[in-house]
Amino acid sequence: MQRVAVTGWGLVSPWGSDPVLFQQAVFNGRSAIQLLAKRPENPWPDRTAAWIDGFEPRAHFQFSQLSTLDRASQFALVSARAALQMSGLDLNRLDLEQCGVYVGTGMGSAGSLEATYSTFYGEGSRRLKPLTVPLVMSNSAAAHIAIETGFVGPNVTFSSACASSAVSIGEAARKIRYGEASVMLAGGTEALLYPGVVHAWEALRTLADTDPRDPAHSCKPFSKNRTGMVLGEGAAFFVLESWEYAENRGAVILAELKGSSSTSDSGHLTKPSIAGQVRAMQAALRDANLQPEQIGYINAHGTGTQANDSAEAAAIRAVFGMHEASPWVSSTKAVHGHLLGGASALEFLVTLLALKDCSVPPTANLEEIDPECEMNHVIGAPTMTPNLRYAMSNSFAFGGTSGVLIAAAVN
Amino acid sequence: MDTLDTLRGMIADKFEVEPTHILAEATLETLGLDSLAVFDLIFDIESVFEIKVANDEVKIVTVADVVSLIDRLRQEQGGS
Repeated sequence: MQRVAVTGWGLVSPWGSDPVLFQQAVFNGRSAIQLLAKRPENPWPDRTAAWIDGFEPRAHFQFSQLSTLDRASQFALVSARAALQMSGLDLNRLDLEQCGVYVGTGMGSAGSLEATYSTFYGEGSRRLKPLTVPLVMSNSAAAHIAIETGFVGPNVTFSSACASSAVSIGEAARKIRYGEASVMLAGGTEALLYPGVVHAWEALRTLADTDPRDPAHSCKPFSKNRTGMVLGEGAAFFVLESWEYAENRGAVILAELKGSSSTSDSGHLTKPSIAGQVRAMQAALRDANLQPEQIGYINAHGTGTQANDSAEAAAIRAVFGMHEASPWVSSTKAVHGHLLGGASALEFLVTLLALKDCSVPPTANLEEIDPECEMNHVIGAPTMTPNLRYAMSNSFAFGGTSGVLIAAAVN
Repeated sequence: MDTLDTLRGMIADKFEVEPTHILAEATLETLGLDSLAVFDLIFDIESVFEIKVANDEVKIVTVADVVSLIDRLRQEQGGS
């Protein structure tokens, strides 16, 4: 079996596409969450979200390309390009049949679909844009990345709600481990901040109340006064390579993807299952051939909903125990929101940055820990963890799919 | 309005083609427009020239083909 090296990453986030700026913001607990009422579209529910201002499609794409590029696909392409660039891979020297693209997305081209229905039902027009179908198809981002890179190996889009990109990254690693690919571009993307979609989330009664003191503090994972989740948008992609291939070409190896799991609660459509989450974490540990005590940090799913956070904390305690040596835990959704299909990818990046610098980010807004969420929380400021060697990233989705990724530091 | 001039402006703007390359005899393919781009162009043409292009009319190869299609349909469909 091949070991899996991470040799590049790229992202599109509310703080832009520079990983350093992203790391500074997230590790210092600076929130990108704002009042939705500040956006021009209407009508919004009276809630908050974390969105990306200043992303200029024309800085990245020709005008005509935009006819088939939804915002989610744009994010995906921009972050995949950055990951490739960081990896230093030379596309002209690759065996393209050994290269593939795996993408995770929850709601795909949600904005374009909403605009299409708005034209059709809202305006009563029967003249829909001719490229609507290739624009909104769920595998559009994966197709565009393959066309641009020339990767002719496996090309699959995974849609399992909030676990989509944990599954895409984990399955991409598996392709490499079993020798079925040398290089995989894998990640996730989401762009669903459109009034119709947000109102659907509002109807499910899952969105956080706006913090009366500061809307930026509305998402409070593991806190006693948490009231729900805050939606976000963005993307993150990774270049995964077989260790041998990366070493032979002299690549800078940033981390090792040690293992992953993808399991199903097979219980309730939205209610988290402690047993299911325990099963997922244990499966990932087995896959990585690690013991629970070797994990030093967990980037939790930590959505900020009552149901998720207490279930996840119970599951983490069941797997890792509750003592001084148990892993540090934090949820960075408090600052970047919940990216659904892009969440696992962005949070896996946070996990890798923690491993790289031996420093773990805090859960922002955690003023009073819910006794049901007792764990070794990182609070207030990043914590230096000089011995951090292995870290886990959790994603527990509506629909019951769990995706857990485990990475190792390389030095 | 002059059909070729208008069309040239549309192709130049949307597909970022140098206007001087958009000659009547140029094929849409050499200008970089694939089959999907042609559908996209026709959609815009329908709006700008206030015509309706039927599915069996979209087999156009050169810029001149597009110009004559537009002119014929404007006459048939009574556009201005």
